Amino acid sequence: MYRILKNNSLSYNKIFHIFTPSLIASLGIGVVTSLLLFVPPYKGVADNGDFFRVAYSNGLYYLPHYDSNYFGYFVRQYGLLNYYNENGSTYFSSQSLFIQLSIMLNRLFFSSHIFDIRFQAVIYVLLLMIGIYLLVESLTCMATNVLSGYFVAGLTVFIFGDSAYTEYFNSLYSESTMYVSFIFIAAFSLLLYRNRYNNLLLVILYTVSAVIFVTLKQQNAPLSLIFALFGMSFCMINKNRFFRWTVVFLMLVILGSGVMTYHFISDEFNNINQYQALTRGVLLNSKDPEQSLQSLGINKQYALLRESIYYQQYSTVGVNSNELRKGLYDHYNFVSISIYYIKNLDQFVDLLNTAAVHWFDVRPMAMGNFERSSGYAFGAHTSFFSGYNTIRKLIAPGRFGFIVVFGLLVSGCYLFSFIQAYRQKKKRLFIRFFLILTFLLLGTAATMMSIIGDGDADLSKHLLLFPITFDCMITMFLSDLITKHVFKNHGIVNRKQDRTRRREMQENLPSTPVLEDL
Amino acid sequence: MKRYKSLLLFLVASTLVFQFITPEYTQAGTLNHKKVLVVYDGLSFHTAHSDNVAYIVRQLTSMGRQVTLTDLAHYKSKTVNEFDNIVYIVNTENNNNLSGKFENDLIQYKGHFFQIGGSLISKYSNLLRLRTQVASGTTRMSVHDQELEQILRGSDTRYISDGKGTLLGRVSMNGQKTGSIGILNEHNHIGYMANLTNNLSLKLLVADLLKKWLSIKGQGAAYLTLTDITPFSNFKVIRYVAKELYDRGIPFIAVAQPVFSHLKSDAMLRYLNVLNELQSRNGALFIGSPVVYKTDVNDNQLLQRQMDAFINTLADHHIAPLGISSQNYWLFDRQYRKQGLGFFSAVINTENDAHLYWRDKTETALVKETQLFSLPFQQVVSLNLPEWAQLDLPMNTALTYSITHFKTMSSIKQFLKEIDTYPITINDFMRNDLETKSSRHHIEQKNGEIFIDGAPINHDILKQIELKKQKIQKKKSQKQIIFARQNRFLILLFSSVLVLFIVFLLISRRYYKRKYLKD
Repeated sequence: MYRILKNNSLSYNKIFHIFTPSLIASLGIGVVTSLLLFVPPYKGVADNGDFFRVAYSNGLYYLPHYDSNYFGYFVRQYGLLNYYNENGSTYFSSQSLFIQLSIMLNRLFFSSHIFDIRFQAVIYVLLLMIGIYLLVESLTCMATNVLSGYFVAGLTVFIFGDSAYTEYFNSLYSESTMYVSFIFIAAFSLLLYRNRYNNLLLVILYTVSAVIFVTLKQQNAPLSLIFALFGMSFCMINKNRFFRWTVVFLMLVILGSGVMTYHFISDEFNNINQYQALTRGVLLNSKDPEQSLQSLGINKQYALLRESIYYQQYSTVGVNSNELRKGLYDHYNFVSISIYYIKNLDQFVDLLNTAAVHWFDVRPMAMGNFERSSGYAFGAHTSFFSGYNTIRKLIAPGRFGFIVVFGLLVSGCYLFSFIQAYRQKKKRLFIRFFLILTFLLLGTAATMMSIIGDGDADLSKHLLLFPITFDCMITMFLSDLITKHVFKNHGIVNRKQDRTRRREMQENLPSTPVLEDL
Repeated sequence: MKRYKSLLLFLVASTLVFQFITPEYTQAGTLNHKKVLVVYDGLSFHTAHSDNVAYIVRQLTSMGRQVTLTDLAHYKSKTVNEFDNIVYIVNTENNNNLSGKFENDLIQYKGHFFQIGGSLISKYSNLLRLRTQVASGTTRMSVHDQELEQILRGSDTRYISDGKGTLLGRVSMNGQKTGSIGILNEHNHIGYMANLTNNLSLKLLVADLLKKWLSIKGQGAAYLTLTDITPFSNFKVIRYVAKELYDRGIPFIAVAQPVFSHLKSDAMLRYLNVLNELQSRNGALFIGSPVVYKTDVNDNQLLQRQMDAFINTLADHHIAPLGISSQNYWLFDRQYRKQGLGFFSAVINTENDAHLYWRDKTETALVKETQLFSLPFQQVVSLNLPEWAQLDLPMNTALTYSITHFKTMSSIKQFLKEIDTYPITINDFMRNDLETKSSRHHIEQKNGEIFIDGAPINHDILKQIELKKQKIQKKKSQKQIIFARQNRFLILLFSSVLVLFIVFLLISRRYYKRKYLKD
């Protein structure tokens, strides 16, 4: 839907109507991602040891000589278990849905003995294309200038098509699911803001995406609260009682999924996080580790574990041993560590700054991107379509204060449109401002929770939510800047009139503007 | 002359006669007597036989034998000819599915043969004139002619009802003598054990049989071994137990876990103090193998570097590690042998964990100069030997007791009482000649004395390793002070500007309303 250009014919408008910026963006990202994942040399992310539980609980097993590829080479093919799988119920995650779907496709079109991970990549690429289509649609459907819409489309492809994100599609990491589901969450929220499609449908789809996101892994479980809180703002869209109660119910579903995720998390995961929260968190920057341990009521001898990680190749005691359980894990938890950090703010800020340095380390530098057969060196990385990631890393200040300043700036800019909407009593338009606040809260919460919950271990994986939320904010901000809607709200789409207009266009009748101008 | 002639004739005749009656099985002069081939049909997970293969391998390596392990499926033709001794383990009752290659090779085989479980191969069964039967339900068994009543529960028990040779391990059912469990032929070259399950008496019996079969002389020595000593253990308890054992004149081995980081920290120094005291209380110190979590074959010999650093740290503080305690599978792995076991001449051979982290697997185990078989002390005590009996173990054994069991004073006292009263002789490990080599130190034990780089160690327990108190110096560099002040100044500046801005906004809003919103 675009304003009719003064000097353009109807057929010209029709071209723009068919090849909309959202379609162009979707196709563009499809092409870019396909080149990365499906054209030799294939690219993906190598296993760092985390694939084991995902693979075996989904009926996959490692083929011979797999061990020699750890860290250095990504493995494209896995064996398919065809008999009883005793590891079947050890891993609870929404990621399994996508893996099982890809296994089904694999069995249908390829083989019932060997699984090619590209089938999973196909599913993610298709989902990404749909997500980007919806996202760009929400950003550009009221563009005053056609070209600005296409510019936004190009920007979106440049940001979200970056190979640092999409190379995860050829791996068993949960980052791929996280990425795709978050794009859908952002897209559905903005579509609700724009009244682009049926409200109830969008809320349901938002809930489904949020549940998939939350049930992906343990660290996402607390974020269900933020998603649910933001989702409650959808009640303002429609005064209809049924609609409002449905929204409340769906937000409770999101909360419930968070609780369920916690409940189903295995002891091993709890132990991993608990162990590293101490050894790579509390003890890491402490000036007196023994004193820090004593303040938590722990034997000061455990200072020897400082800087160690859970997956240490050789260790003094087993990390799952009774000795550590009784002497260490039983003495502290998330709450006591949070209290410790409140009392030792300087240490916490140091860790936050350490995290800030890794905010934009989307591509894990320790893992290679190529297959062994491609001839590339062990641990080699691809530089295909990774301009945005490179620029972002270069210009990022690497301090936690950056997000505070950035957040104030962006939210300050959107505050004007929020006040405007408040004065006009158009509650739907609050959603954009709340969305910005939600992004900021998610990014900050993810950073803080990863520090409190796991220290500085695996930061690039735990902090993936930060660059995604940051990129969503940047995309929104830049597209609103281009379309001149930073300080004022977009028009709300009048869907009835839009349907009339489309029909008129098809019948080659002069079309009428459908904007509900502000 | 006639007398001499008849004497000569007699001698010649007897020589000829003896040629025909020499036993069929002779020790091969050219082959290594210490090599044993162990062949098994399957591992039988989750059954009473699941531990058999691992146990026998551990037994044989503890007896100083170089074991080569293979299963029937991977058995290569003519392999038996390279070995003097073959042990065949049958874990499934129906062992008619012998590998054709193995069966054919056995027909021609002239070396020593021992079978455990299943029906004895017909060639040897005929030689021993063996008859076996199967007893159902509960059976009571006694071994070594001692009434070590062990009740074999569960599935059917195969036993020997008759045979030509030495019968061992009486089996009786409901008080009636019915047969035996083990048999060795006259010259101990053929052996058979009808049944082996996860039962200590059976395990000791098979050890005894194997020892006789391998012609190993002498009784095994038992060593009390305290395990699971870590830097996180209760040091008071360890010190107390060590003192009590010392006062009672009971020598022991202490297995301490290695530490690979922060080797100069206070926590490490406290740990070293405890190890020093254990050594001073007549304890022989062994290093426990580290807990392995994953296999990264590109780790640049990490294990070797870490173990070397730890041994050097111990030796720097006059603590002498005399050996290592490791899982049995390390002996079968080339990398663990080199990077972990290569420092030591003594090994305590423990059971394998459920999950094994292979790096470079081989079929043949390493043989060390001193190898001890590990057996939990509590299992041995559970044999309930009568007071007049004396338990003699067939091989050198480390009777292990984890210090994590010392939860209360009563548990410690119970342990000490058991040590005092149980009819087993605890030997002193210090009498063995041992050697440990690291990159910087050479540790030896000779004639009861320990030497580090040629100098005897000091057993004075009062000489504690001095803790280096690391005082936290709150030194702030000049640069930090300037930046801290600069930060405060900037924060103050920005806050005041913000406040001013808000004030201006409020004032201007009032004027704006007054001017433009006049109605």
